[in-house]
Amino acid sequence: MLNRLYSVWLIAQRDWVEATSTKMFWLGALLMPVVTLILAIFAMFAVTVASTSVTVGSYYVIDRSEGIGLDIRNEILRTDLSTFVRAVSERKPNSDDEAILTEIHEATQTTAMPDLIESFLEFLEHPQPDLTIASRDTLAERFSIWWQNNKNTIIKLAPSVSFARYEEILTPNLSEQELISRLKAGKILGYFIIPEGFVNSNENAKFITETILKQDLANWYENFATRVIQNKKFAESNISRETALWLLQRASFQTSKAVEPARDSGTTTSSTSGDTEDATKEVTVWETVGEFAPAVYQYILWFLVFIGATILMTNTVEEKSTKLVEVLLSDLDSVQLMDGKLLGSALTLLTVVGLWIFLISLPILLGSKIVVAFFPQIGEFLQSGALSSIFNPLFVINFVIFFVLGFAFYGYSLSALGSVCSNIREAQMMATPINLVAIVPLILMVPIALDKTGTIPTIMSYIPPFTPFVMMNIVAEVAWINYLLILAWMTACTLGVRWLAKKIYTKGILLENKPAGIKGLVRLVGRAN
Amino acid sequence: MTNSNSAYSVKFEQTRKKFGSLVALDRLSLQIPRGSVYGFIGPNGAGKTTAMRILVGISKPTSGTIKVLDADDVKDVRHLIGYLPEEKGLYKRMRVIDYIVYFGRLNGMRKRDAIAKAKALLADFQLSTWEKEKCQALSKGMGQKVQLMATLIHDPILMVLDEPFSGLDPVNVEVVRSIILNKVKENATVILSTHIMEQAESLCDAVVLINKGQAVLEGPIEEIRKGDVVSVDHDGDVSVFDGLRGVVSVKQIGRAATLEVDPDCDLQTLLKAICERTKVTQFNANSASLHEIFIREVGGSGATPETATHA
Repeated sequence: MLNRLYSVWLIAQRDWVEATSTKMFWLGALLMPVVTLILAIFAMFAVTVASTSVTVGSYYVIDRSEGIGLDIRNEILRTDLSTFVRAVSERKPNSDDEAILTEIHEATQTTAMPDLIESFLEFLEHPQPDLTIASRDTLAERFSIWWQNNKNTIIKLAPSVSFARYEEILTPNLSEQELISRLKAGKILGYFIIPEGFVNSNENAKFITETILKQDLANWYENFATRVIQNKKFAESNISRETALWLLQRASFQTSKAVEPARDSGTTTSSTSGDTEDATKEVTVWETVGEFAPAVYQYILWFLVFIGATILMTNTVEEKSTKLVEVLLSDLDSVQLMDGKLLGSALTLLTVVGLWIFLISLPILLGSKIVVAFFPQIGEFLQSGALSSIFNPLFVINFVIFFVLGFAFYGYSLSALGSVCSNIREAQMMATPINLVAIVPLILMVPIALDKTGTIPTIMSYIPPFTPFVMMNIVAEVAWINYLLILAWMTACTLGVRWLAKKIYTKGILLENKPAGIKGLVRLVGRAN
Repeated sequence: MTNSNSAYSVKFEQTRKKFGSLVALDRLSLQIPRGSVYGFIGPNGAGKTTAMRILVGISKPTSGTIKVLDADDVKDVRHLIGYLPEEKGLYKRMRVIDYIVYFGRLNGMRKRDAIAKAKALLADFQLSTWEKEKCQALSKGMGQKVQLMATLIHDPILMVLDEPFSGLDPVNVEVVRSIILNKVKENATVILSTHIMEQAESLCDAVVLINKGQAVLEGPIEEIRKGDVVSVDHDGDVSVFDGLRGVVSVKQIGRAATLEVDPDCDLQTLLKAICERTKVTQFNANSASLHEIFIREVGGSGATPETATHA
């Protein structure tokens, strides 16, 4: 028995050494995390760049109504102003600031925000561009002049102001023909037509654009138009702005997560509202990311099982074509050879996983402070507790168990198929049905993650080709008795596949021509050695 | 090791192998003496490789039995057998010494012993300088020698070599021949298949000629070749041989006649009878070459053996 196991180990060791002793292996293994890292850095960079340098798109409004277009423009202005003043009030003034910014900051400390904004609006709605700041007496007057001439500073301080993205063309009476030619030339994003009697009629306004898929401008403008019309309707109905806002207020739920209550000295306290707050905490973005850890495990499991099983099949075909397998089979049983090759491939894959884990852990090993200095998002991630969700022992142990079973299941199957083929192309053709079956859990990965206790995951968890992947996704939701049942069933099926694969492999590996399809394989299984 | 000291290394008894409807080996029965060089000869597709695969345990017979080194199950004596298949592959990215050591270890050798033995073999085969090279750097002939070393490393007492000389140059043919003869001196049994009849004739103690899965001729070389052709130089024409007992056929060119005779024919009586009819200047009782026997036995199936010049 020990000799048999030793032979299996020798086969595995040789395959592992051969696979891992090439530059291509290390390049391939490093490629995935490096590409992921590059993409992550690129994404962070892109977000930063996007937030600082947005191309401003122009639009035009043909207003056939009773001045709704102007009201919308003023509503946009009010919102921008509010955004800006809030940003200035929340930031600490510094010595390099223009004097007006310091003045505004100080004003926000002494004056109520709505009053301040209203005072600014009074002048901004009626701009007087020929005046200079120095010639004006009040802060509101000076601010209205500064606002018109310092767009870039405003965008820098409050990146979400509307003119960072969109700018209305104020030239009066542009014809539709002219607008269409500007659209065709790509000079404007689109134009709006506000019909006559827009407030009280059911007639739709229009948005004309060249790129119908780009609806963000229309949606943005529509929000302001809605607000203006609502305000008008409330005014006509004698409803105050405050009442209107109160009427329009949406119900809001803050998603929180239950936490383990602290156990102290075994005393029981009655439930109060304070207790409830203690028992929950706000869900952070990273924790939400952590919730998807099983799906990520499932993807990695699928990836490893398939890459490994395909490599195994390819090796089998290669060894068959070079007739090396004949020498090996004179020293070993076919099942020893299959086991050894399976183990060798598994070790190779685990080396890859080990390398990935090392690379992921590298920021922690290097000293998270240095890394966090460059990538603050990594710091947030490390402190969020998502790491403990990802490396939850339940997931890790389950991953190892179903990696072994899944890899054995698919590895034996594809080895057997490889054994009856004379070249890689034939093997790939033969493996197509298996590949098609195996892709199902990958396609259903997200729906399963969103409904882990549903009928589909429950049924799929008992279908051996799907079991490892589905179980990786739903493990936290499966009762222990079910888990053990599924585990026993999957183990039995894997042993069954091993037995069947041995039958096919023993005969197939010596065949010169591949058997014709499924019928040929069945005949091969039925045939004596 | 085997317990018995039976005179035979291998015994096929009514061994049959079928692949679907194809009978690859049809009730083969033969015994291969221990310490001999035994040749499997026959045309392509005759069943030689199938017999060898059964012998080394890669394939199982459909019916009948095979006893190898006195064991009923080849698996029990696998570590005593060295097998060199017809088509020889190598792990191209493996170093030469690692490749040889690997097969030694698969046959139960300790790593240290396997390395020492591999180095000794490389020296014997004059490949020591290639020890650390990758197998992909080897020429075909060198690769074949490395394969043979991997077969020999664990000192098998039964060697099964499928076409061991194919692809080798004459110098390497001699190297392999001497290796085989040395193994036999150590009381190992060597079973080989070859298309080269001269090789089989000069190397084998006994052969089996397999055709269409059946053994059509089997036994020691001398027995098989025993004089059944007589050449006669005489003054008369071909009619002088008419009606002579034991003469199967006659071919005459000029004054030289070649007589095919029955194996039981008494050559003294035949000579006397011819002398009574014509003046005989030369009378030679030749043994037929293995090549001629091969052609005679399987010629109808369109197969031809290779000659030594092809090696």
